[in-house]
Amino acid sequence: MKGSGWIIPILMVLFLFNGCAHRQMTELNEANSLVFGYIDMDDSPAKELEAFTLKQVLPKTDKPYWNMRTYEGVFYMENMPNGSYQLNQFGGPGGFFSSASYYWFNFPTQADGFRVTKPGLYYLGSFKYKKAGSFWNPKFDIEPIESPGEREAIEKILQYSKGTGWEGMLLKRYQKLGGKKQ
Amino acid sequence: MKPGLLPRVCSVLVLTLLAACMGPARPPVHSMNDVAGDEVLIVGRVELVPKLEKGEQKVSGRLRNKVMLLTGVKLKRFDSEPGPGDHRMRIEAIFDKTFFVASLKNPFYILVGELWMNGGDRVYFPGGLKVNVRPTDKAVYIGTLRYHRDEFFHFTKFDVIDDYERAQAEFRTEFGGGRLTKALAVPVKETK
Repeated sequence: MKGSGWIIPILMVLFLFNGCAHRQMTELNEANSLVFGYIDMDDSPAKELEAFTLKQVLPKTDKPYWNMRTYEGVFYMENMPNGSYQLNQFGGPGGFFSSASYYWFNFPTQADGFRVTKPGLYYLGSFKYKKAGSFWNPKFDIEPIESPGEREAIEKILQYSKGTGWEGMLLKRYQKLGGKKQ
Repeated sequence: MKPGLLPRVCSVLVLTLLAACMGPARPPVHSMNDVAGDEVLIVGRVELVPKLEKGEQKVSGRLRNKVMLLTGVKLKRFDSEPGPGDHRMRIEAIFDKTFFVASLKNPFYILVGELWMNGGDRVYFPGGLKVNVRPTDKAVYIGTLRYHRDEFFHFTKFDVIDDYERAQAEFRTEFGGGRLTKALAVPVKETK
């Protein structure tokens, strides 16, 4: 089939483009905030962090779930309006030899939450996935960790803020935290 | 097959078994004839502020709009989720409705409250309350346990409200008379 050799490279380029596109931040709305954090998934059955959801609990809305962007363990979402948000769930794909193709970890009803009260950057912290419970009653914990911290998290997502108003805000914070000028 | 289904199914099975193995709650009473000689009638109420919203609790049947007050004759703090044995002789209290249950005639503790929300997800209400039942008591009013929560379902305030007049009126309507002794539940101070 003459010419069909182009299809696979085109699909690969489209796939890569799609992978980057969903990480790219949209333009800054000055009334809103950028929320981010980090989870170390090394001890989880999932290969990597691919999904992270927050639930907006105030103000009440018909569509309360915010699907965060993720990159190398960092979860982030720009342009979140003032309100109260609660950790909802996170997950990622299983490895090649894994018994499941995707793992989800749901936070309980009384999970931690936070309030976005004025526009800005909100770093939720860095955490490590910890297995708890048993095979019959699987549970998990997330424990706070110091490293990687806020500066390293910013370092990872800075590239996806390029060309938006978030870039300046992130750079300013990054440098305040001791990051070198870029 | 849905990813990670087996552990989830196992988890649901464990919780279903837990629900099935919890044993009987303290029985609701509608007549003083149902209260044995070595028992006392316990009268009280639980309120949640703000109330559960429509659709917030996704369970049906006997667990709906109902908090389980786990009780014991000894004070116990839970570091992990209570097991089936901890649910024996629980008080199943429908929110905003006065409960009338039979209990053995001895002091007891309200250890923790448990509300089933969605599948196996449970919300825990702080306990650590002592009810001083005396041997001479026939019916005891323990108060309205009023729990205040924030938007994250974290409890921000807790009061034992003395609503004796209303409880006594309901007690008389339900049982026709008799003496309702006031013995409000008392928070137990932490000892190190």
